[in-house]
Amino acid sequence: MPKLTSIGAVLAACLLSPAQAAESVTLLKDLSSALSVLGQPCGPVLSATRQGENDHVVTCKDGNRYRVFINPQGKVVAQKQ
Amino acid sequence: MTAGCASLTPASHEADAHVVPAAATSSIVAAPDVDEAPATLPAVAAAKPAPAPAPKAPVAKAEAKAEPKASATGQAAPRAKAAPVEQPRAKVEAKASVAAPAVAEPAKAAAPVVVERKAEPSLNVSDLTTGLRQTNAIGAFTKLALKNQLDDLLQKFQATHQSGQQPRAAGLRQPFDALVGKVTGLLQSGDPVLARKIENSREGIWAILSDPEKFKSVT
Repeated sequence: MPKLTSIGAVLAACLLSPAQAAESVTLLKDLSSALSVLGQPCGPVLSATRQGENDHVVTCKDGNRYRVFINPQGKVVAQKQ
Repeated sequence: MTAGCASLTPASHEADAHVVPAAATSSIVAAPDVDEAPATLPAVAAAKPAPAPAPKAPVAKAEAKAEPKASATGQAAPRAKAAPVEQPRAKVEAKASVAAPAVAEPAKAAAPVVVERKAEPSLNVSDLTTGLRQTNAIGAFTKLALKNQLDDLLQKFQATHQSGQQPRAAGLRQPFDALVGKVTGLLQSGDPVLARKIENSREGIWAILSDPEKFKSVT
């Protein structure tokens, strides 16, 4: 049964609409650009894990990991992990 | 479909607990073709006039051999057209046909530059602000990061103007240029028209920011 659930999860993931996939790519590019604007070494962002509203932990191509979030003052902050 | 699979593969490998589709959860992984951060300013490079054509000497030679009238007028098109008729020698004909595009190229490159200068708009800050807010070329995080930096820069200008030390405003030229460069660099691929507008407005914006009276009127 757990195996079936796992397969179901994979199938569900594969059925992700192109729009959603494009949105994900857009987010990764956005996070990559934001880190670049903030002057943090990163290169392209390979993956992002959502922690909360406007809060992501990203993995960069160069191996760096950052928590990118908007603080209560409305500023974009990149914290190295 | 494939992008969806590719973007979620690690999540599905990591744990069996991820039952919900990844769009609803949290993990996003880049497709292999995710681009690097935007490069420098190609439009600026494109706006520069094309270098002078190097192979001018062979052209002149071919012209002299082929038809002296055409070389006197300096028009490439009629010469290329007439060359096969007047020249029985295949060697000269080949020279003329090879040389023709080299002469025609600078004329083509020069024309858009003139048009661009005519079309250069006057500074319209609200237009630029609206354009930056509405463009999809920059994501929300990046826009906010840029706005944060702009706010910081404006605070520095304000502090400089309040202290009455006018020459110090010149010291802010470098961060100003850096910020404009970042914005235009980010816009270059997704919204080149807006990038060009901002680049053209650079001096106008600087004139407002560096002048205490003008700065006061806009803030």
